Amino acid sequence: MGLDKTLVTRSTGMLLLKLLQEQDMYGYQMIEELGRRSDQTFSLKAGTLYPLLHDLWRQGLVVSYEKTAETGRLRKFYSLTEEGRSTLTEKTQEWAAFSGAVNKVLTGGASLARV
Amino acid sequence: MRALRESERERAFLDTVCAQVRWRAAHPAIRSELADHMEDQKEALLQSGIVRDATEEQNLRQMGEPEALGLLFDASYRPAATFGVLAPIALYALLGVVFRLFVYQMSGSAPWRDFMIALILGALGVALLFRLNLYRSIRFGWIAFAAFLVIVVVFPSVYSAIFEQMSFRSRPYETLQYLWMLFPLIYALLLYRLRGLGFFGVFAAAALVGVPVLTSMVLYWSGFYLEALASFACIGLLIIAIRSGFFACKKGVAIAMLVFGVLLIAAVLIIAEPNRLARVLAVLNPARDPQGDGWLVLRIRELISHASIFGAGSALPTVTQEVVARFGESTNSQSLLLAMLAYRYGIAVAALPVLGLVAWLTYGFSRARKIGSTLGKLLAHAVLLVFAAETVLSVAVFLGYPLWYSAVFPFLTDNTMAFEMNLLLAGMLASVLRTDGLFLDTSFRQKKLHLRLE
Repeated sequence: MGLDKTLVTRSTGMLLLKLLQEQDMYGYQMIEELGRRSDQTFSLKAGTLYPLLHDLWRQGLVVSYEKTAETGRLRKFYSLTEEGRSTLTEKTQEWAAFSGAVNKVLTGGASLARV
Repeated sequence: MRALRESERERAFLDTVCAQVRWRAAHPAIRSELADHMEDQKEALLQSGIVRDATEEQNLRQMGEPEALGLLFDASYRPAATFGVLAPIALYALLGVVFRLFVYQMSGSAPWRDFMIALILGALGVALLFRLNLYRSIRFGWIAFAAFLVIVVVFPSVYSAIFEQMSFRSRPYETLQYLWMLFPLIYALLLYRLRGLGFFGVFAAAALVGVPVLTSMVLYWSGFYLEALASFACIGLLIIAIRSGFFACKKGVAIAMLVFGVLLIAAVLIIAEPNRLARVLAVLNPARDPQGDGWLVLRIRELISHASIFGAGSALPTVTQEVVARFGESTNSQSLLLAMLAYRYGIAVAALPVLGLVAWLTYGFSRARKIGSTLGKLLAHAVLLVFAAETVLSVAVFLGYPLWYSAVFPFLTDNTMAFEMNLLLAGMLASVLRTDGLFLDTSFRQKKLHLRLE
């Protein structure tokens, strides 16, 4: 099932921060990892990924540096900053509250309970 | 980044992407990252069993439309705004004109020509530096260091030995010594090279801190205010670097060793030279030597103590009245500048430029902390620490604790060379902030490097 693109776009930043929370990654690695974990639901293109990464960098949520990757190639790695870590925590909580509320409405839980 | 062996079509794709990005300086960074991405993607396609001839086609398809991609990059890659840094500097440069008017009015002389030339040259310097990408200087850290020593230390010494019979008052050095104000930027480049070297790195960096003061002490008889200014800024930078885990060693031990070493050397320098010791004692208690070292300290303190919060101060003792009358004629005018301003127009008026500069520095440090690269953070902090050291030392004079009478307040000084250097430093700061994002830190020892200078 294809997803509404705006849904994906608005949450991609949070997903990238989550990936970087676990380890530093370079661009292609992030696309691969995101696809793998979401059963290819999130299939990012370079055109979506890099401008988004640059925006996260501008906000001070990630930093970048040059390092030799496992493939033996020199790559631009991204890493989460302290600010990025706390933003991720906030976004995760926001998402949990939002998705919980949406689920409640969809399943009719809260309103049925009041009735 | 390793250069990709791009095919014609891939090169055309990258050209089209970059053509949409108006900030040309960002093109190499964008190109490099996309080329790496295409290389990884191509390899993955080959591993998935797609035949080599078809990979290029599929690779480019997966990258998307180059025009659309370029427009997204264009929206994302922009030079950082520097208005908040440069506008106050322009204001201070204008205030500097007003200050000179104040000094010249009182002294009766008006060397406007020299000042206007300095102002124009400084403005041109700011404009030139603003356009440069200073991050490229990282390749030349040690060369810049060697060249700096040749220009500022060796050349004046040789000149002095040949033409002045070693008078210890080398004329070239009288001018060139102001370049010490730029030394912390070279020190930042060297510090970047010493990352991850543990205590060896700390010792090497600490030894470099002493270069300005010690070289000028050995070679010249001077008040070494400018050298001390450079060393203070370097010490500040080193402490920040150690606190940030720069050297991968025990931070507390490294800072304690540094502080102990600095205090020990400072104590030796003060005690070893009787005149210097007398100066320090006079600052602490000017009544010890009211006609000698304590004379000017007493005048400053009298001016401050007789100043009002707003408006002109109360009647002064006769000696200080004479100093006020001759203000601007002597070399003491700079030391008395803010005290005189406080006495004539009120402490609030004199405090305004100080508070304004403190606000500017606070803003500058907050911007510097947010710079994406470690090198950029070091360079920006180096500039700001020079301004901070200038401010602290000149405010100390203003409050009647003049360790160096020649201390200059940033921009508001009748010292043309110092004014010029201040403008160049501001240009460098703006340049570093503006081009943030174009430099990629290298990891040392294959570890991740994302130090936060806080």
